[in-house]
Amino acid sequence: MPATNLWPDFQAPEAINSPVFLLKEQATALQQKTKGLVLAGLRPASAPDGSFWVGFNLYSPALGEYTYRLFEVTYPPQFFPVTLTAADTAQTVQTLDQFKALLESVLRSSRTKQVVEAIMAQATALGAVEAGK
Amino acid sequence: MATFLFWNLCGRPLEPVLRRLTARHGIDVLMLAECAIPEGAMLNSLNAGGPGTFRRLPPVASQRLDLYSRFDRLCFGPVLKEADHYIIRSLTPPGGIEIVLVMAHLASPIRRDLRARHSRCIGFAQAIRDAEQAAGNDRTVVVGDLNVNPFDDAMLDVRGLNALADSRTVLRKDPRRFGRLQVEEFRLFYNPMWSHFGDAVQPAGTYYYDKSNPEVDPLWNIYDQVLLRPGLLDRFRSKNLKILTTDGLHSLTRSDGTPNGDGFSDHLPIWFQLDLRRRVRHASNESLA
Repeated sequence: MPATNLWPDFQAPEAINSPVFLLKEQATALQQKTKGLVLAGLRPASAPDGSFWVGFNLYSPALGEYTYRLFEVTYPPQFFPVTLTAADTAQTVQTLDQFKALLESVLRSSRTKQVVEAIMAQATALGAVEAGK
Repeated sequence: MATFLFWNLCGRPLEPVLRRLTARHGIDVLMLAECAIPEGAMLNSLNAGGPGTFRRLPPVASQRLDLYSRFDRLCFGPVLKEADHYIIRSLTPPGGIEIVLVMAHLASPIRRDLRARHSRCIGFAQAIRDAEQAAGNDRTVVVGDLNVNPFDDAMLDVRGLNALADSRTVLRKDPRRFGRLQVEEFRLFYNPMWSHFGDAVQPAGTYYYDKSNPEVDPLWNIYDQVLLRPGLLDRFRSKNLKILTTDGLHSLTRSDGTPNGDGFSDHLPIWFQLDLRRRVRHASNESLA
């Protein structure tokens, strides 16, 4: 007699509309855009009310332990509503499409551009020092 | 002794006041929030009044905090962690031990409610722990306008800044442990600012605000704080932390004791000292002990 399996079929994790996958895609895209000079990583933590907290950190292999926290997102286990906090503003959205639009506005902001360019400049300068050692 | 000053300038051109404060108190490390004074003007002013030569220690990409110091540039390690609202780097004063220096200006209550500010403190506290791990050092001092009071959840939550009012309790209870099967540990901070509430010693806080008028409101706040990890407690004395109310020439407060935001800043500066000198252990003493 075959073993009984009472579990349903599960969706592949990537098929679930999670804001985290969108963040991971953007991390990969940044690496391509900066030719590996600036990378992005997700730093998770648990928040006191049981929600999830993820920091979106920029870093560069040339800058050692340095990271720049560009923004943070918090969301419940069911993913929405998700709150994105960048600089002094916090915005909450209800759907993945809204989150995509909000994320695009943050990534394309002049402040983000300035931060990424500053890290690229610093990484390039220190990389040159390293090479000339 | 290493001598520190933190002040939220509220965008005011207070170079002459800063010159008097740094000279009067022998400041080694000057940390500023909401500073709109250009670097050149600031250095001209700071270096006209006192001994030593101040220089600016620039961040990589952060914009909201400024750091000036009389210590050599080489005393400061590279920036470890950064965001718009904090900068974390190591500092080793001449002849001293290495510490992790955390400067912060967290989100304002005007822009964010208390719950959102609490959430931001979770990420801030995690960045501090990451920096301590990267530096291999937990002699950490946090300085800044945290925009929460010492009694707010963000300061007391173990996943937040986890900062308590009594240094002996901090030494005894650090780290706080939760869970039986899966134990979670949370390092504590000592928060000496608790001792500065109330009118036993003036002023009653660092920031006074009575315009929003909610029914539960302390009016006097201590948003500007200094937090110390247990490893620095034997290098700090309570008398070596003061909320300043004068630069020696002008009072920074009004006649009712509240910060004079019209003439100066609506926040008062914090002065503190840490004994960061390297201590030499003598073998003869150790054998006696």
